[in-house]
Amino acid sequence: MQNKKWGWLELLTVLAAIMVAVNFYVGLIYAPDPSNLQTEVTRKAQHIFYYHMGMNVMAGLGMLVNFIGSVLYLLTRRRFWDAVARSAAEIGVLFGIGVLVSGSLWARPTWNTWWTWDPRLTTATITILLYAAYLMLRNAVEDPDRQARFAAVYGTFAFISVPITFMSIRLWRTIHPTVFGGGDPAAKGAFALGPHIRFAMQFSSWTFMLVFLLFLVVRVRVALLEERVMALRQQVDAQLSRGAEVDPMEHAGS
Amino acid sequence: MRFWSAVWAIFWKDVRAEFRTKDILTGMLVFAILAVLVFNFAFDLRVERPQTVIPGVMWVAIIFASMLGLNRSFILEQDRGSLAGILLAPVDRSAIYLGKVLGNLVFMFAVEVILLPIMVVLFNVNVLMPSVLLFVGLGTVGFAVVGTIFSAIAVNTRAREVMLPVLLLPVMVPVVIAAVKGTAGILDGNPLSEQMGALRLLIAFDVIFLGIAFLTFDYVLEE
Amino acid sequence: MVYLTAAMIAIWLLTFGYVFYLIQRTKSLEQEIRALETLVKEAEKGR
Repeated sequence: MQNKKWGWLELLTVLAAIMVAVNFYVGLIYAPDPSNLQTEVTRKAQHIFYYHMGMNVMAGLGMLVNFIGSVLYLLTRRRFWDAVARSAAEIGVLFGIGVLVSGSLWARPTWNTWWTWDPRLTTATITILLYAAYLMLRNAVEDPDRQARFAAVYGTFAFISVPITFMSIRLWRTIHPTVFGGGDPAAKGAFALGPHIRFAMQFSSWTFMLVFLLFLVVRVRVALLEERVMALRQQVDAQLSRGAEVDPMEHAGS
Repeated sequence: MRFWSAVWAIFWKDVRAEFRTKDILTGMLVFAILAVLVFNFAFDLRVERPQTVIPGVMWVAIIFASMLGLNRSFILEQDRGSLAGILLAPVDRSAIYLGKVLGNLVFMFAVEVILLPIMVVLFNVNVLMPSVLLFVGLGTVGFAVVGTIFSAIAVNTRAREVMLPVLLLPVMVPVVIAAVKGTAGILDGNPLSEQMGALRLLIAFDVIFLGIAFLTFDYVLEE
Repeated sequence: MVYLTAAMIAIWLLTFGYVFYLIQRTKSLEQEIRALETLVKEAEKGR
């Protein structure tokens, strides 16, 4: 396409790569094993948390950006916002699965089970299914304009239902540890927050926010390329059909 | 005034068309009862305290039966080609939406009016208490409000009938949780005042999503 | 340690898998755009 220049996308990529590399050090070596956890296995597994939370940040941002894109598409009708919404939902679902997988691998040593029917796990899964349904809906509608409209409406509903779902689980008790504010005594696997752990958490959040931004930009670029391919295909189709109309005339002339 | 007469016209058209054949209503009702019976085979329901399983059985039956009804509400229009006619009428799109919601509500309530007494007979638990009916009513409204707009979306997809439950169920989780919890609490003998959390959640859900549906329905039926 | 290793492998497989998917997709789309553009130009010339 264009001649490659050292643009801000390349800068973002390099920055994200450095952050990810440093984050390996911060999450695995710099962050101390939390002293209040009983066994060696759970202390080591606690390091998963920095990535668990990172995935969570990405999934959450994906859903938020999907909502923003959906609303802006409905208001402005610019295909760009539809591309943003579509890209964000895809990233949200993918890293939502990452949240579940990393959480499961942490729960096995800590809770002694891969999965429990805990409200927080259940609602997280429902939320991911919500956005999987969003992607399925997109797949099931051919017309691009109609697809964008339906998806934007569904994305709006989906995002607003998430906080209501999280409120509805308060009708239950949870064993999932809460890191920020309010320690439920029933929670299992919670760890004490020292300054080092706090720093590692913040660093991890920032890292994955940057990774999200990078993925979003690249995915939106892919989405715009897809749009361009569609437009070109239509153009070619139009030319071919025009050609077909012209052909018999030419034959009659010769 | 004009708005409400349009709402009424859509609503009355749906109700009259349905009561001529009663296809959907009987289908929903038989399905709901079958669901309860199949539940009995799947999980042995001869438990000591039937109050603990009834809310779940009742709501699953209601949810799946309403799914049938909601699906038909736009598929019939599309198959008859009558949706285009309605869209040509010089009325607000939200009037069409509201008329459809009311029609679906009437069908769902009609099924519940027969289903609930049957549940009383089958399980020997009085589910016809006013506070239970309050939860049933609010939950049903939630399903009709969201289900109607999603049904309008689902008919225009390739999968049609398959799409509606996939879209609808994850959004309806708060309603399912609050309705089941509220119903269970009351059947357990607790007063309504202890179920205010669930009740407030249901009301908030209904109001919020009715508002969003009003704002977005124009976009769904725009062609 | 086993769980931590497993989690790290899973997470970074997911992440880098997505990166490679995006790169692959970009490449194939750019290729298709080039092909379509030449097609359009040829059709224009042929007229």
